Parts: sequence; structure tokens; C-alpha cells
Amino acid sequence: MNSLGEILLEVKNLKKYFHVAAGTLHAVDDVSFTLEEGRTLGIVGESGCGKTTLGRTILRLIEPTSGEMVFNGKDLRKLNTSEMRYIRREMQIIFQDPYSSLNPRKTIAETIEEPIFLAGLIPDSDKRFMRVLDLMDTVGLAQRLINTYPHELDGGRRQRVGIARALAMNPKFIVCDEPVSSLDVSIQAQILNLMKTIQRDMGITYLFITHDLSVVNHISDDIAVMYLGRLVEKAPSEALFQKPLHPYTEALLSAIPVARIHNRHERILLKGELTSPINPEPVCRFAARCNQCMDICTKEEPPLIEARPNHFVACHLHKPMGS
Amino acid sequence: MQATSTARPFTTKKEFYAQFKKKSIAHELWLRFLKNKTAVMGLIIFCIIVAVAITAPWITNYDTVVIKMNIAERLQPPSMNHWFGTDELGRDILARIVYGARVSLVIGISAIFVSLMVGLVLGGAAGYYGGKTDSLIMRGTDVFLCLPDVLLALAIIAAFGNTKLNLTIAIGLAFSPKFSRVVRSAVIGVRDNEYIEAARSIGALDKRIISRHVLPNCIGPIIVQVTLYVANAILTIAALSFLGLGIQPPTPEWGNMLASGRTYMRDFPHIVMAPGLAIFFTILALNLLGDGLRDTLDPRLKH
Amino acid sequence: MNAQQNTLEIKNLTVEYVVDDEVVHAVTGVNITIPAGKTFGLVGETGAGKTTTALSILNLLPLPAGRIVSGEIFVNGQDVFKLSPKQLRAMRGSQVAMVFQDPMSSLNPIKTVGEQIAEGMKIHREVSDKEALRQATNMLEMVGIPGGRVSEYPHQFSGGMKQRVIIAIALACNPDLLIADEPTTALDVTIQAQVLKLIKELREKSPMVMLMITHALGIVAEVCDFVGIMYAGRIVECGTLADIFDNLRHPYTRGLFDSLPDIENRRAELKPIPGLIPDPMNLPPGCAFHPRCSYAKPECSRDLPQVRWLSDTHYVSCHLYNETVENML
Repeated sequence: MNSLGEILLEVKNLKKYFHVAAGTLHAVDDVSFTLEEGRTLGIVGESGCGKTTLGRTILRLIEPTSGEMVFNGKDLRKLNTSEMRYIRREMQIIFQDPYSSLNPRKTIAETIEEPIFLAGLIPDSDKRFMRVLDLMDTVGLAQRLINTYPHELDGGRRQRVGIARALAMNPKFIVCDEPVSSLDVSIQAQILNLMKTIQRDMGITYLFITHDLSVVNHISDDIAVMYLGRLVEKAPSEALFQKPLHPYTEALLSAIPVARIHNRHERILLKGELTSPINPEPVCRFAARCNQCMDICTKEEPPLIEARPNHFVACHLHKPMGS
Repeated sequence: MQATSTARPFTTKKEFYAQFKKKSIAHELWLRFLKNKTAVMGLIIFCIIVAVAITAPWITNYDTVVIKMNIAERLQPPSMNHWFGTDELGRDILARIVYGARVSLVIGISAIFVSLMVGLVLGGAAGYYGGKTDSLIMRGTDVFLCLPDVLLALAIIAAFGNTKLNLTIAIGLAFSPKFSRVVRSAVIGVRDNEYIEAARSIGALDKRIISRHVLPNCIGPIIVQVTLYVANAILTIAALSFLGLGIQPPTPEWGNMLASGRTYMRDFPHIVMAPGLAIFFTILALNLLGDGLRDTLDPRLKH
Repeated sequence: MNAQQNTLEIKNLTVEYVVDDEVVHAVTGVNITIPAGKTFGLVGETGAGKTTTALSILNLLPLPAGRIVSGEIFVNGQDVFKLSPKQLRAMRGSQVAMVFQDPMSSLNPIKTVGEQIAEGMKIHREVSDKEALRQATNMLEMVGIPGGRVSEYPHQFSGGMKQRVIIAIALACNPDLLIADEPTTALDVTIQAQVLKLIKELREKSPMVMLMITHALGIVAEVCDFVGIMYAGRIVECGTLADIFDNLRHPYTRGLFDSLPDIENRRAELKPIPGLIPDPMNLPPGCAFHPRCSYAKPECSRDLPQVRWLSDTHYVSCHLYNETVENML
């Protein structure tokens, strides 16, 4: 049994390629990182960076093309279907869209009960139902809502149902795929606070996927930035925000709209648009848009190196520590 | 975190469910359906037809009235004794229409039931699994779709004999590929929703996902098609019987009544009008009902 | 203020939707004034009534449910509700242009972008096809897209570029008023930065007035001169940028700012507004915000708060300010 601080998930050289008409789409390209128990790793990136595919591939909801995911010491790719189903109890997912992530024909009590029922954790029907009520308490849903259908509830409440479902089997690890992006600002804050409380009380490890940098900063211990399928920077949140090393991270941070009229900074604007993730050249994928692009960037792909203690970056501008 | 900050008024699930009842989706849909006047009319007409068919033995006697020839009274126009008149063999047309309803409805509904079952399996598998399974099943059904229903039924009856069972199977087979398509497209519409992925993530097996998550959300378009295809099936039965291949006289069926009445049509139009109108109203009712159901169940109108 | 000076004046607008015998009070008593050359940011969450307000300006409410109950809207001094359908059509696209949120569905997939930009020009002005194409090319350049792409189709552009095309279409006839409904919400944040910069540049070059609808205070801080905060169909606070960002008065405005994660202080716990956005079919009595307000007093659940002017530019609708102009938060 791992205790807090030990490595719960290790992702090694994970790749997911899709075959499309125009060639091979490198959705996730050679991503590696470790995640300690009880901590939150934020995965940040814009559309097309592969963060959603990464989350699902780690859980094997999508089969990876190559690479390893080692969860709690077990290599997930080596497990067969029933072993995978068994370990799924410990690895859950919260989805982005509160409207399509709940079965419209099931009441929220039925939705929350289903995982418990499937895992056979509580055979007695009444006791199982009490557990559903406990979960509803945990996520802040009133008892009277047990027999409501999703369409009767607003986005925030539906998302709470999704969280309760993810917690039902007492998982160790939850992939949160943009869980608050579809919610109004005042509700976002409620859900984020809820997720932090749950983590504190239950010791859950989060992989928090989002495009919203202000949100990720708030909830993550470490942040990894993705661009066109590659991990371009990874660091503890404070380090990333105070001293970003990758030019893309710098641009991303400066692009966040700030709700302040004084002390506004000059925005770093990127040139052009995303290059294609189909059959990419083995060069730095950000080179075309980078305002600090050097000659070597258009010739060689930069490896992920540790430029500062615990601060990783894939950029030719930086050298590994100690060199 | 097992903190239960809220007091629990009950201890069993049953008690909770009694206190906080489920809102009935069916009831709400029913109310919405009622607002559609033409659909309600269709439902009423269809119910009348079904009621008539069920109570046929009490309305009239099969042996003495429906089949027994009575040459003395042949070809009489509608009168107080015979509301729809009599046919070329002196039989009461109304009684024959009533029994004809039984035949059409029973065979029509059974045939569609058969094709629905086949369609759910084939279309469900094709839609859910996609890829090669989809291609294989769809190409198979394409073959059947190329054949006109009547021709297919003809072939089966010619090969296996002309019985009510064979007729049902023949029509069932003719409609199976159509249903497979309908089910498949409904499944495809549902399968990309995140709650399907969620079901997978909590460890549900495919069988459970299809039966509990996918199909219940596909019911809408399927129900609509059921009503419309029952109409088609009844029409096909009438057509086959008209051609002499389906239900054989003296058993009354609207199609064969049209056939035998054809020769007398010019001077005694009432003989063909009755079965013709019977077919017309049945098909009309089912179509109105089907359209009404489609409007009621249209997901875009939901909230 | 002389009505002629204000490009847009909305007075006491009240709009309802009637659905299945139920009435949704979408917008109630809204007043918005925008003088020439300025940008007004209309801020609110889902269901606040922002889009309904915008659609009313051009009488584009979805029928038969949408109904303008009362109020007047003046564009360049003309009373929009008194215009004939022909005059209204003439106004749409030429004096008032609108940019919607979703670039995917705003563009016709079977027409080139050049054709779509030129379409407005040809409807409202007498230009030959050749001239219209030339001007369309110019418009593309103006929004930062190479002019040569004028004969390409929407699907050949990315999300951010599509939104620029839509802006080009909106600006093609030099409108006096541009209504932008969440124009950057669907875009990635780096693309959003590009589009916002474009919007700012365009603003500087022309006296065009803009009504920017958004839920993001960060965007408002970037491009707007005036701000109106909407809640449950009413404007609860309105003022200049400085009024709202430095001197906010309404508890909901306070709640909105507090809900935002602070980049500088990640450890701080977020202070969300408790409770839920009210059901527009079933608004609470009195002030619609009172169930969620930590400053609520007895009168808040009984009486609607009146509008109180705190300065020439700043007003608030809250019982806290019935007697005083001092900041009560």
C-alpha cells in the first residue's frame, strides 16, 4: 500500500497515433512523467495538443500505440480485460461536458449506484443505497434529488453527480478532463473548492486536464504544458508561473486575460497558427511560431531535459542542469 | 470522508424512494403527445380498429355470417340489415371487414415484432462496434434491401408454402434490414456520448452498455419506425392477398376482398369501397400516430 | 445628453419568452447608452439576459416565443421598434452588425469567404461584383488574413481565422454599431489574445461603437470603456471601467471578482458565490440576488431595489445604497 508521496503513476514514452487519410496523426507523442500519490498534476494546453487523448490513454479507454503506463506498480498494458476492469476501480475519470456525461434515462441515484453495483462492493441493496447518499453528501447534493433526471438539474449539479460517480468505488486516482470548463464562473469556484476538499480528505491523486491556466494554477501542485502532442515543460506550479522556461509557456501565461485595469503587462503574441499534427517533422514543433527560434530549432527536436531542479523543459534554449 | 452531516429520515431504499418519487418521463411525454391533435386522432382511430378486431367474435359469428355463402342476398347495397352491404357471395361485408382486421393486425404486428428483434441485434451490433462488424452486417442487409418486399415474400411463399406463419416470417424478413438501418443510426447517434465512455470506465461490459445505456436512449426513433412499418406491413399483406398469394379466400382479408370484388366494381362499387376504406383508415391512423410520436419524442424540443 | 450623440440607446427594455404557457422574464428594465467610439461590456453568467438584449437591438428575437414587452431602442437616433421591415433590413448589416460566439456555425460552408464578405456589401451598397471582391480582399488583410485566401472555403480555415473572417464580414459595410456576443469564448487563449488585439486596433481606427457581451472580466478589462453587470435579466451595476474595477459596489459584482482564481495567490481558497443562478421562470421576490447575498437585509426579499446614481457615470441597483453613496461592501 503506497503512502502519500510515493509514486502512484509512471508514464513512460507514451504514444498514441491515429491513422487518418492524410497520414499519421501524432496525438500523443512520447510523453513521460511521474505522479506522486496525493498530489495533483495539471496538464495544460490548447486545442489539438493531445491532453484529452493523454488522459484517456492512461486509463486505457483508448489503447496506446506504444509506451508504458505503470499504475501502483502494475504495467497497465500487460493486463487482460478482466484484470483491467478490476483495476479500473482505482482509476476513475470525471468528464468535461455535464450534459453528455450522464445517461439521460437514469436518475442520479442510479448513475451513482451503478459503479458500486458493478464492482460488487456492497451486495445489500439498502446498504448500497446508503453509500449513494453518503456520496451525495460528499459532493453537496441534497437528498431530495435522488430520483431526479439529469435534464432537471443545472450544469453545476450535474458535474457534482459526475464527481460522485467517480468517487463511488473509492479510487486512488482520478483523471479530471476539463471538469469546470463548461460551468459558469461562480459555479466553477464551488466545484474547484469541492475537488480540493475531497482530495484533502480522501488522499486522491488528480490528473487535472484543462486549457484554463488560472484554474490549473489554483488546483495543481505541478503543471505540465503540452503542445502538439509533446510535453514541452513540466514544473511545480509556482516555478512555472514565476519563471517559465519554454517560449510557448511564456506566451500562454501572458495571454491569460487579467481582470485588472492597472499594472497590465504587454502581451506576447504568437505568430501564425498551429502547425499540423499529421506526419510532423522531427524538429521543434513550435519553431514556426517562436519568437526566439534559432537555427537548430528547425533541424533537431529538443529532448525533455531537467534545466532546474524538478523543472523540465524541451527547448534548445536551455541546457540540462550542471552542464 | 464518511461524514453524514445530513440526518437520515429513513433506513431503507424503499422508504426513500417513496418519499422522493421519480418524475415520470412517460407521463410528461403523454401530456405533450396529447397536444398534437392529429396524432391523437390517429391514436383514437387505431384504437377503434384494434378494439373492433379484438371483439370480432362477439360482434358477429364467423361461420354463419363471414364464410357462409348466401346467394339469395348477394350484391346488396348498404342497408339496415347489412351496414356495408353484401358481397358477390351474399356475405355481410361489415362482418368480413371486422374479421379482416384481425388478420391484418395480427400478422402485421407479429411480422414487425420479428423484424424489430432482428433489427435490434444486427443494427445494435453494427452501430456499436463499427468497423468491420458494421461493414459486414450492412453489406448483408444491403442485399436484402435490394429486393422489393413483395418479391421477397413471394419467393419465400413459393418455396415454403402459403401459410400464415410463412407470410409472417416473409414480411418479417423483408423489414429486418430496414430496421437494422434505423437501429444502427440511432445507436451511432448515442454511442459517442460521454456517458457511454463513463459506463466503460466504471467497468461495465459491452452487453450491459448496449442494453442499459445505448438502446434505452434509442427508443424514440425506433418506436416511430415501428408504427410506420406496421402500416407498411399491413399494406404488403393486402397487396400479396390481392395478388392471390397471401391470405386465401374464404378467409376474409382486405386485400383479397378487393381482388374478388374487382369484377363487380363498376356496378356494385360498395364491394371494393369498404375494404379500400378500411385499408386507407388503418394506414392513415398509423401514419398520424407515427408522425405524432416523432414530434413528441424529438430531442430538440426537450427543455 | 443629446440623443444624436449616442450611437446606441436602450431604454427600459423588457423582454419575455413564452413557452408552453410559462413566462420567462429574460430581460427587465435594461438601460444601456453608448456614445460614439466607445465600447460597452455587458457581463453576466448563463441566463442573465445578455444575448436576449443583443438580439432585441435588431429585432432578431426567436419567434413566436420571444416578445418585446416594453422599452425603446435607438440606433443613431432611430427608434428600432418603429422601423418597417424594409428599413430594419437596411439597418442590419450596414448600420448594425453582429458577431456570434460559434465561428463554426456562423459561416456558410458552401460559399467562399470572399463571397460571404461581399454579400453584405452588395445588399447594402451599389457595388459591382468586381469592386466587392476587391473590397473583400482588403477586409481580409485588415483582419490579418492574406488577401489571396479570399476564394477559399470556411473549412480551410482554423477556428481563430474563422472568427476573423466573421469580424471581416461584420465590418464590411462599416457599421456604426458592432455587437459581439462572446466572440472569443470558443477560441484557445493564445488565439483569443490575437483576436482581442485585432478588436482593439479596429476600435482605435474608427468611431465604431461596440457592445461586447462576455462572462469574462479579463476580456472586459482589455477592450471595454464601460461595463454593465447583468443578473437575472437586470443590470445591477453599471459604470466606467474604473468604476467597476476599482470601486465596485454591488455584492454580485464583488462575488464575480472573488470567484476568479487569483494568479498571484494560488494558495488562497476561492470564494464562490453560494447557491445557484435563479430559474428565470421562477425568480425570487424582491431582489433576484438576495438568496445568495451575504449582505441581504429584510427589504431585499420584498422590494425591488431602485437604481441609485453614485456618480455621473456609475449606478447600482441595491438596497445597501438606499441611503448612502459610501461603499457598503
